[in-house]
Amino acid sequence: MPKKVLLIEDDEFIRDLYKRQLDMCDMFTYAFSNGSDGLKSAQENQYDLILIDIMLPGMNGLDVLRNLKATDATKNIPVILISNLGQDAVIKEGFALGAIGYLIKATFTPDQIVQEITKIFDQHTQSQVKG
Amino acid sequence: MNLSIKWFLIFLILFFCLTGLASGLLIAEFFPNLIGALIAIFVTIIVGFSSYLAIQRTIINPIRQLQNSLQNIGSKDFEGIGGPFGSFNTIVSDLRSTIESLKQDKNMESADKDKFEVVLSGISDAIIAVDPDQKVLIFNSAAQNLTGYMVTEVLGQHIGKVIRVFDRNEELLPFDYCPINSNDSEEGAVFTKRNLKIVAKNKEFFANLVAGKIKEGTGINLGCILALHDNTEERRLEEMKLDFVSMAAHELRTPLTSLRGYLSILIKENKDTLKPDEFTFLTRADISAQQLGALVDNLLNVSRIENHRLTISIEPVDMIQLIQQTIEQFMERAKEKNIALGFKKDDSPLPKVLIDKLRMGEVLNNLLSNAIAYTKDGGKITVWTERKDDLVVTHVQDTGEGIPKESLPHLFTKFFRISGRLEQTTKGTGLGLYISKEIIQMHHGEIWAESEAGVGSTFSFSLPTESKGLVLDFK
Repeated sequence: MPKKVLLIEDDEFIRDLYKRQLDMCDMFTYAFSNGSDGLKSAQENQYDLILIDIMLPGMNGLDVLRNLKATDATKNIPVILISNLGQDAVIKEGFALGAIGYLIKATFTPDQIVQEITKIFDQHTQSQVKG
Repeated sequence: MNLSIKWFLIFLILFFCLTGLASGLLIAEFFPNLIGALIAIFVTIIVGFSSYLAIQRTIINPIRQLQNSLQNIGSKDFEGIGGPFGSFNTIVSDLRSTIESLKQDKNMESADKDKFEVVLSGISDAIIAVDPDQKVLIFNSAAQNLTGYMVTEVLGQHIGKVIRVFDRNEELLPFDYCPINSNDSEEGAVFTKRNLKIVAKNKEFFANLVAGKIKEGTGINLGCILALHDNTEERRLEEMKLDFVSMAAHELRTPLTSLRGYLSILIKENKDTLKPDEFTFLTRADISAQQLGALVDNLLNVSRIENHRLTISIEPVDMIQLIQQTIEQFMERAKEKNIALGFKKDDSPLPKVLIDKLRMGEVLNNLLSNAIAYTKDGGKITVWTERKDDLVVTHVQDTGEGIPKESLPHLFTKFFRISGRLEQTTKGTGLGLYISKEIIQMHHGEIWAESEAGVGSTFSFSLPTESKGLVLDFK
């Protein structure tokens, strides 16, 4: 279970919704509406998990991911992409860039999203410990 | 003058000189002195010369004329000859007419050939004709442009050496697409396939191929004609369309996410304090939002299927767990209609299946959606699984209206909706079963329905077990 979570999501309603749900599950969530603010925060704080939407104003979510992986301070933080884009090419690229998960928002209720996020995070942590 | 005539002439002159000489000698017999000798010489020359003139006029000249005529037989300078060769004129005249008409035919043929060449080079599709041994005979300019080959490089070459044809990742060999040996009907065997990848000299392109066996081609050494229509541009437009659909789906999903999200928390956290009416209203709003989401997914999937862009990524999955999770999502809807929805557990262990969880979830969603929609209040829906050899079969059984027998074969086709008194109350685009079938087939499974009017329907689908799935090729 991640403790400190960074959420980058431009839609205000969804951003508030997810932050609320994550916080209710004992996580501390810091939410930003665009990529550059999110990146800055990631470099200044030690997050356990980063959630990024793909369709963002200015820098898109994949570029944010690329940036995170290119910076020593942030490259090892697990990233889960959450988006309503479902194109295979995008999903493939996300994983290729190092995301540990890709969730399509519209298919989950807020509860389910939190469950999925936790599951993916835990699986990843376990595999890191083993490997 | 012809050499042999010249020698003949010389021979004749000599002969008659000799004759003249002989006559002279004879005269010399009678006139043995000088005058006699002179007379003899004179006579010899006269006779010789006269003979020469006579022969010249009667034989040599006509022959010469004949010679000239023969030389000019085909041209405008032809002159007939008279005398003993009169009938020669008729023969030659006939011959000349024949030559004229042959020339005309040749010109026409040439013109036709030119016309044919012009037409072929004007066609924007690549036209390749091969002989019965599949060697290239015709390779028009469009074919040259598309493949990068000059016609001189490919004539006489086996078609398999000129182009390679791929249907997605599978290579098609000339015997596949060039139906030469087919014993098909009078119209001639035809092979048609769209969106094939063609690999040629230094170019690759996508094309629609139509290949036809040439009826009665063996007589003229033609086996098969291929027409390749370059659809690179069309594909580009399809790509753009698909991107548009994906973007549209994304845009629709964004407000839907909020809608479902807030409704879901509202209901969950206030269950105890909401009045029954309020609870019902909110639940219905949530159900509608869910259905809207499913519709968007269906539309997106159909677009992907149409463009051969629906892909699956497989992993071993516990089918029972997936079914139970999906049933959870439908509990509210079932309760609304007072339908008993449940999973009938079987004690025997079920092997995992290799599936795309998201896609299979969509299949279950579609089947459960339909079951609820077509079952009246108070009905029952049961889902259960069973193992059949190396297959896992899932059944969704309802006690609904049932499906008329004549509709059964069409159930899984696009946009098919059963017309009946339930039509007004059912929602849906008629895409759910079509998409489900595509998804199941991509998993190397099968889907079918059994039904009895007035009793209910059972929709079933089979999936290969994990071990069987490992040896299958999932595209």
